[in-house]
Amino acid sequence: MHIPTGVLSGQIVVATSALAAGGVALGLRNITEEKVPRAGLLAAMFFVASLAHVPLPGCSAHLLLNGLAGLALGWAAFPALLVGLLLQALLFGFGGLDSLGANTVNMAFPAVLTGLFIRDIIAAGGSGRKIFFAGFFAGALPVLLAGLFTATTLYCIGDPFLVTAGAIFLAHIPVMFAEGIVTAFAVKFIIQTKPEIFYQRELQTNET
Amino acid sequence: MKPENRILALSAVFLVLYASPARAHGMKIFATAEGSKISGYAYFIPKGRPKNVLITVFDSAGNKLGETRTDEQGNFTFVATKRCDHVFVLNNGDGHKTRFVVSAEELPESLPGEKTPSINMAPSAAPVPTIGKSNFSATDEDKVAAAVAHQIRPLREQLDRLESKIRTDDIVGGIGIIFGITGAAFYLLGRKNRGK
Repeated sequence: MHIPTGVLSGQIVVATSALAAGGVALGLRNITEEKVPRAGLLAAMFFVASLAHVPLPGCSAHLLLNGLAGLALGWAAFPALLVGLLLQALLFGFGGLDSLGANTVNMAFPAVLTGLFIRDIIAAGGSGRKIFFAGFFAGALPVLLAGLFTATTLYCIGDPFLVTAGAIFLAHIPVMFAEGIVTAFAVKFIIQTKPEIFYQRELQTNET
Repeated sequence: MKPENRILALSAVFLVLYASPARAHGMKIFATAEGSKISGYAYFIPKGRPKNVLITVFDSAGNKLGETRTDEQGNFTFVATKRCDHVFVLNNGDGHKTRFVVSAEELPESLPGEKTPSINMAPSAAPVPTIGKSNFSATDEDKVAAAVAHQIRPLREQLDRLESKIRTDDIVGGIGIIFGITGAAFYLLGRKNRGK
């Protein structure tokens, strides 16, 4: 789902880079000393997750883990994913430097939305099954959203939206499932071992 | 290290171990000319080939020369009618887009088109360099060129693959950079806090 280099037009590059810069600025303000190692580790996981290829005939797709990043980081997912994407572009040749802004927005904004809407559901607690399903959607929905955003970006340069969105959607159905299951297990594990990661806000108010 | 971070660190290590270096994603085209027939294939970098996809062929100025499709094995052929650079463009429709250039030099000189300052033209002006060459007609040269192209094709394929391969060094290096940035962030935050 990385938009390769040389595909986007100049205006789109400028617009998406500006959006990404705004997100990164918000994210950096959001990073406390406590969040730094978490952001680094999630950036590293995002960076290598792109190598975890989901085998399916005729297409190529890989794990994103942007949902998990959003749950653990909130707005700080922007700088974390930017670093991951930059290194993927430089070292692996996935995506490109001119499409870095677009890819960052397409991956990180769904992550932030997940952090805003699903983190509270998980933090509210409940039965194991509820947590598992919340985790599943926290993994699967950002993949779907990232696909829709990518299709929208490509639509802006003249690709037919429905065809592109359809192709991305079909290629990512297995990824959504894989991602959902991986994230659900990760969420369950974190809830059992270190639940504070999901309700930081209350933790901070308790401390002060 | 806090338990939560330990879990994430373990997961990262797990991912590194299970993401084998060969697995990546991306799409490329490879093609060579043998005579006027250009044959090649499209492939995804980890594995797999896009089947029944449209490949559009342009010259270097961007004029459309024609179209071809990959077959069930991901292979395609295109018969060149002009001696010019052939740019093969594949847009898979899902954000994957790639191009590959078969240069004019690879195509037989008997084809019409852009006359490159070819060696063939030289003899008419200065007959001296024709020694050892005069026995060959243009078609003979085309045959030799085709035979050589056939022989070096596996080598070129291998080079192309090596270029796009992802090495363990890259993965480990990237993780190192991320950890370095994390350290720098701690330093900056620490300095800010001390300043207060």
